[in-house]
Amino acid sequence: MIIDEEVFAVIIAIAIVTSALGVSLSVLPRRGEPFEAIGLLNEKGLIGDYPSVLPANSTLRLNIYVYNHNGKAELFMVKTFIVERGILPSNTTWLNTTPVDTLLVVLPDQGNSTLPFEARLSVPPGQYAFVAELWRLEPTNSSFIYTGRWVHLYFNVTAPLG
Amino acid sequence: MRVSVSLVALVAFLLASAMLVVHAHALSNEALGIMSDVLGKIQLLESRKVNVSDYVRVLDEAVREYQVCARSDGQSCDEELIGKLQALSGELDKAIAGSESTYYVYIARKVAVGAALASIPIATYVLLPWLISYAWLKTKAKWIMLPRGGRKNDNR
Repeated sequence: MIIDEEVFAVIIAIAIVTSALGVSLSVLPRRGEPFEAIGLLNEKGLIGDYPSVLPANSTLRLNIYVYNHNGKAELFMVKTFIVERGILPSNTTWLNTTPVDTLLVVLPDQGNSTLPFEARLSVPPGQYAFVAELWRLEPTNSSFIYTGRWVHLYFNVTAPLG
Repeated sequence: MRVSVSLVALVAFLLASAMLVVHAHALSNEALGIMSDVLGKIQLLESRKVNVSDYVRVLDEAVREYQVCARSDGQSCDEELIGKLQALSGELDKAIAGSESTYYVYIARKVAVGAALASIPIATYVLLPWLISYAWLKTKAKWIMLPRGGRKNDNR
């Protein structure tokens, strides 16, 4: 053989590794852990600088960020609540009260959307919590399922201006 | 006394909650059913590797328009939504009917790429020595072989 056998063995080894890597990257499905996310943004659509003190009869303005990483298109529903401070959902239980608003959005895989939210605060002065829960439409049984994702913001309502 | 104060506070909070500007809306069961059907079809197409971005955009627009309509206290929001979803559902049915060939093409392409990549070591083992020998012969094709000591027995 013109080429040295040891050199040939090394070349073959490199070819085998390259081939295995190529097959695993291009043919085998690459699926990470599916998840969805919800985030709270301020009125300008940025993180931070959230309203903390608002006069009664003013308007609470926020943005809600939703992200889909489930590997397929999804229809999400964001239920928003304004409740007494301390009343919060958990990863397994949702708030069993009437939402202030529900926001619907359809997202492709790895798609995201920022949903504007506003509500007039016709409430007496006190401490309140804004809560947004993320629900997902399950096509097989035509119902929305709580994803366990939620965000909240505490704020104080003061006496109305003027 | 403390119980009555708590009760008054609770009633006040419930009244306050009711005073919030509520514009929540609920989809009718029929609209929800068709919406689930449409989403299921989109997910089926997606699993068959069909590009569904246009269908997702149309469904999202229909849902957003429904919300705008519902907030303005429109009476026929559900009917409008159902009409749009039924039209989209019809398009999805056509797409699903032609999606199997797309899926087979996708699978065939994957198998071809996999086979090509898997054959790299075999091809290297079989072809590399031949290529090196061929190149060696090509580069030395015009060489003239001479015996040691020069052209002593050259009868040309």
